Amino acid sequence: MTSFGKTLFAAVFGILYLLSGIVMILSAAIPYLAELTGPYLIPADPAAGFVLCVVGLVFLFACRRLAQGTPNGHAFLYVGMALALIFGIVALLSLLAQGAEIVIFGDGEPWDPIQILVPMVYLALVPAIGLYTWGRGFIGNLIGV
Amino acid sequence: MKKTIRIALAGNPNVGKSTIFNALTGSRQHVGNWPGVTVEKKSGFAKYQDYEIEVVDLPGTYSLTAYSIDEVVARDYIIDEKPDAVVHVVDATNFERNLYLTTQLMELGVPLVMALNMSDMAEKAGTAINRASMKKFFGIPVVRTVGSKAEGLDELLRTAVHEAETSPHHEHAIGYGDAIERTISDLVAALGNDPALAARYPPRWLAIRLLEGDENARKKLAGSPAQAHVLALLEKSDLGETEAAMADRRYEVIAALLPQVCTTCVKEMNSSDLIDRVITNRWLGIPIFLALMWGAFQLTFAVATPFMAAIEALFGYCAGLLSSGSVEPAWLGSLLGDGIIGGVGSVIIFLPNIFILLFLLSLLEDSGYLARAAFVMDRLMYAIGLPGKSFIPMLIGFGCNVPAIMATRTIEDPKDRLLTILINPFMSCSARLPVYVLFAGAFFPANAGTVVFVLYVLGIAVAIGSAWLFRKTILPGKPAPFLMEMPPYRLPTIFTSVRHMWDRGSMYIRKAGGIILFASIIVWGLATLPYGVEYGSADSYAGMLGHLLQPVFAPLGFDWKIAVALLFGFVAKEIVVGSLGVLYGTGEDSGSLQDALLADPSLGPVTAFALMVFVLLYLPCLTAFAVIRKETGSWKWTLFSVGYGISVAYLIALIIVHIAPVVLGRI
Repeated sequence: MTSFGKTLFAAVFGILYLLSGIVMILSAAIPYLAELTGPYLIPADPAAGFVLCVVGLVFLFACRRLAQGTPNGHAFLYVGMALALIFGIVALLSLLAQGAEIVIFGDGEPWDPIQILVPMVYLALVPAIGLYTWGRGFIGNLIGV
Repeated sequence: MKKTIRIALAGNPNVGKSTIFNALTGSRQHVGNWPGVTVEKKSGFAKYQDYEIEVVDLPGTYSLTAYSIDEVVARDYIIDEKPDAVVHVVDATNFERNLYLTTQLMELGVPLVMALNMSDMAEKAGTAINRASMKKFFGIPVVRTVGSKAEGLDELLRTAVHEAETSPHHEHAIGYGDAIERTISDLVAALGNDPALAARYPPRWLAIRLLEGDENARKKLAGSPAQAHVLALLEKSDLGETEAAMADRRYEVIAALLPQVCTTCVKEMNSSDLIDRVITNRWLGIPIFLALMWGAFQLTFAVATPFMAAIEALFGYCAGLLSSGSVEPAWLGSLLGDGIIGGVGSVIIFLPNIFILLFLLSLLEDSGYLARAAFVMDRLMYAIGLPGKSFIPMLIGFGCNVPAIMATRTIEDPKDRLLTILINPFMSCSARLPVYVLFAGAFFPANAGTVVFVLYVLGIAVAIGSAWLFRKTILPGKPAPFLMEMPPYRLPTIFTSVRHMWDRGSMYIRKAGGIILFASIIVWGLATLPYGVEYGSADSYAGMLGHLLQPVFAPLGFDWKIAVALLFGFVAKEIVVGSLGVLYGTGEDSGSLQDALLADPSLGPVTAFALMVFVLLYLPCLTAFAVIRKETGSWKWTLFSVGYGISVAYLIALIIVHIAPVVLGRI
């Protein structure tokens, strides 16, 4: 993909992550907002919201640097995608573990798999593909693989 | 007739200085200490033609500031003892990094020779350093050496002798810009008013050191007629800013000259450098660190949950067998059920959390990230008076405070070291994790991971706040700047990280079978005796002890059972959970300790959070207490650490109990 494409990618995911993070933080403070966003798979969780904001900021830094043509713009993009993937895995494992506990040791209460669809998980899907497509060589050089 | 000269070997740590020293002196060595300090001094003799050469191996340093004992020793030897020549041993494979010290040695105006050591490895890697250009631009003769093969040593001695016999030598000045140069000139003029001082120390060098805020250089002014004028001139300068500007200027000079002496030394940024630009970014570094720590705690709590449930089910089954009356006499059943399963079992349940957290910290450490985290935090820590080297012991403190306090031995400055020891118990060791998991899981089930994360951040905040307070009051001074080499990024292997996790975590299993078992039996005895009282009642010894302590804890909302658990928690923090398990009698009960705590009317979310904060801050464990005594060598500081910890814990818990309900709108 062209540098413009990567800049656009960073801008889109920067905004998506940042907005989702801000909404999750505000939802925790404003119950009315939580009622509105809950059905759209955006729970009220200030700590997770903070993490999404951090990932979003890394993407927006990447966008700015890629637009300026500085060489480390790509590094910001790859780190942004790597962080998105890491936190996506963290959220997925956490929610699957909770599900396992309910299913195995719960008192018969049901567990809905849709609970694993939180922004940290579904937003990470495209950056994970992006990291695999664009960042393989870079990450390989980094860790000597 | 034989002539005798002295040469000093200076250089960064790990550049092969000692290898060259050994190759030059062979068996003619003397090892002792530098006067007044415990830094090893090595000297020996070498022969070259009709010269008898005394070779002195100076401590390895990255610069010649006065922030560590090693730097002061190396620098004072060169200035005060005035060796006939200084051989600057440089690692040719890391040429650029070594040049900062070169610029400082040049400013001393001593006869200087550069030994380009490990040249064979550098050449193999394609690094070509032009020695003639070095002589031209830096004014220093450069000799190619390979210390391990004793290559180039004759030429090194010949060049050193030549430099020693050639005079005069002038310092090679770096221009620091108009404003700083004017101040340097004023200072040099003022220092000229004391001819004895000017004869002993190069005036420009002394002026530069004074401008860089060097306390050791200031001491050299004591009693000098120039002192008042010099101090008046220094008052007009912002020494912190000037020091940074002068360091920047040295790096600029190095960056400008490097391509002219080594065409292959100016490397393009590699992937690691580029990643560091992001990870250590001024604005993103700390948020990324906090986000990763949140991820670690989230995983620690969530992934451990099914494992905890499995262990709890197992202990519940065992307790059920005992409660069926199959064990006679009854007191033995009570000992096994209430005492051992209730106490040890309550702690064992949390092993998954401890192992998962230690595994994740190992992953972060093995990947090379934690070194970057130390770098990122250094900026903040330096601003509030903490030395950057404190961060590594603070991070180790997340595992266990005992090795963390011992790790402060790497901090040279005694005040910096004491400061780091005093704040280390606030770093939440993994022994405290069971208490958090127990109470956060019971009272904040939806946000337990976040609550645990907040507690860890609070521990760091209290440590940093305390360091700031101590710097302003009992331990005034300026911390030493932090210089560290970044390890390369690596893909951590599961095997290595699991091994690290086991090395650090297996002690909890040993503790569960040792001191926790012993403490659980003691608490069970206190809860059972005197004979005939209801188990764990107010009439038992535990009840009496608890009621004796309760008035102290009443303002915090803690009842007598918690008071007893906190008292025993001094032995080891896990015992808080073990003691509660015994005192709530959950061993024989089908319900869990969390259910028992939730059913206790004296406990609510606010009290539970205050209790977790109190456990986080109140006391180091008994072993940490002993290590603080050993490492500080002072009962005064050890007792201060305990008294301060209890006071801070009590105060913050009190604030939480009384302020949180107001904030949460519950009043």
